[in-house]
Amino acid sequence: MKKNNILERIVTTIRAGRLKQRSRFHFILQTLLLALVVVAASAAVVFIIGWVRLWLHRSGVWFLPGFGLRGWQLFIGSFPWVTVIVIGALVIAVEVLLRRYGVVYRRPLLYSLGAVVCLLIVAGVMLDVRRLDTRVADFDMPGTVFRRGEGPVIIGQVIGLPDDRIVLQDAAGRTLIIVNKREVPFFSDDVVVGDMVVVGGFVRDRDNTLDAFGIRPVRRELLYLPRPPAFPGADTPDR
Amino acid sequence: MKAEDGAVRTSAMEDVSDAELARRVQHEDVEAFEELMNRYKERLTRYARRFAGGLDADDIVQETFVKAYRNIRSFNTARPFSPWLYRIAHNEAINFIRRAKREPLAVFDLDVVFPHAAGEEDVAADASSRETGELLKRFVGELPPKYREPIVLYYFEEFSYEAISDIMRIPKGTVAIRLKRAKDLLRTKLRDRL
Repeated sequence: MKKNNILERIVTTIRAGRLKQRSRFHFILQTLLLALVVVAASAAVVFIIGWVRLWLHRSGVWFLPGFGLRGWQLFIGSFPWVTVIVIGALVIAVEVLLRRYGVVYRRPLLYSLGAVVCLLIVAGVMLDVRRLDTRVADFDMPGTVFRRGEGPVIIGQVIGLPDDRIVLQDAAGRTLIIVNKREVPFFSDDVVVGDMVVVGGFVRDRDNTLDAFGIRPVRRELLYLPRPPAFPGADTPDR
Repeated sequence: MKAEDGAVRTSAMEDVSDAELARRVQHEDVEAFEELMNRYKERLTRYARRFAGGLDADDIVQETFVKAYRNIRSFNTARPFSPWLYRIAHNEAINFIRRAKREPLAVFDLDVVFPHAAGEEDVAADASSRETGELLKRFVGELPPKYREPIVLYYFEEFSYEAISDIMRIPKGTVAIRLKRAKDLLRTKLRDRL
């Protein structure tokens, strides 16, 4: 009896015009909005990954793990973890929105989330943000997220190798000296004058000498140098 | 006259498929919606009573029909109608359980994370066994919601794994593993009572 009352009440409400159907346009708009949010969030993730990759290379942090345990520690300490949190939140949002569709929710979360993460990481790694726009490529990255200033890694060009010393010039034009290359635990013997090198270590302000724990030559194109060239005479063959 | 007219039209709709009726409702045919409600009111009430508890069943059914009518234009008539309607009922039931705070509902469940093998035929074979039937009737209400719902949908509403997957929006393998665990729980309950 009560159930029939329910049905009667609903029919009466419909006939009285108090219960209306949502238009097809409403659902099309909803789907479009959802697609837009998914695309925007995915694009943001790809762009952030591309930017992190650019910063890691340009700052030299990317090369730190090659300098042993200390290099790894400094790599982890220097990594822009805020971006990882932001990427994680955006990926979760994308997954939650996509789980409205059968093709996604019928699969275990491990597969669907794994696919989303892999796809976005591959796209992010493949994206060369420098090619998007020069202003983007040389934009000053936010210091709150990407570490600024003198860090655990210095990029320079070898301008002299007197005795056991290595003389470098950094992007700011400073001359930096490694007093005794034999005391550097991770030292590559094939460094020659003119090489671009990555040095793991810190600059002593008072005499511009370097406390280095690692030094290795690096191909210019791996440094993603900004435009104009940061080093005198250094062209940017990766452009 | 009006009632008689309505009755004639309703009986003429008996052979019409759910999808066709839904298509007519999309063109604001109220009689077609009435026929759909008549077809599903008992089933939905039974589902709501078993899944969410008897007290709210009528409210859940009413809300389900109201939302079904409001959102009928989002229904794809090329797909089966009943999982679509039960999906709305599922959401309503979850809302009622959450509001009533009778039982805890997990926001996230590890069951949906990893792949599980779906052995539908094994459970189907068990469905007709006397032991399973007895267990279901006696103890289904004592199961946690995440195990209770697939049991209700599979054994009482006779939905396939695929349809349950669409209603609950979980992978088919998760439906299978929840049914298996639910049956294990029911057996444990039976053993404890003996």
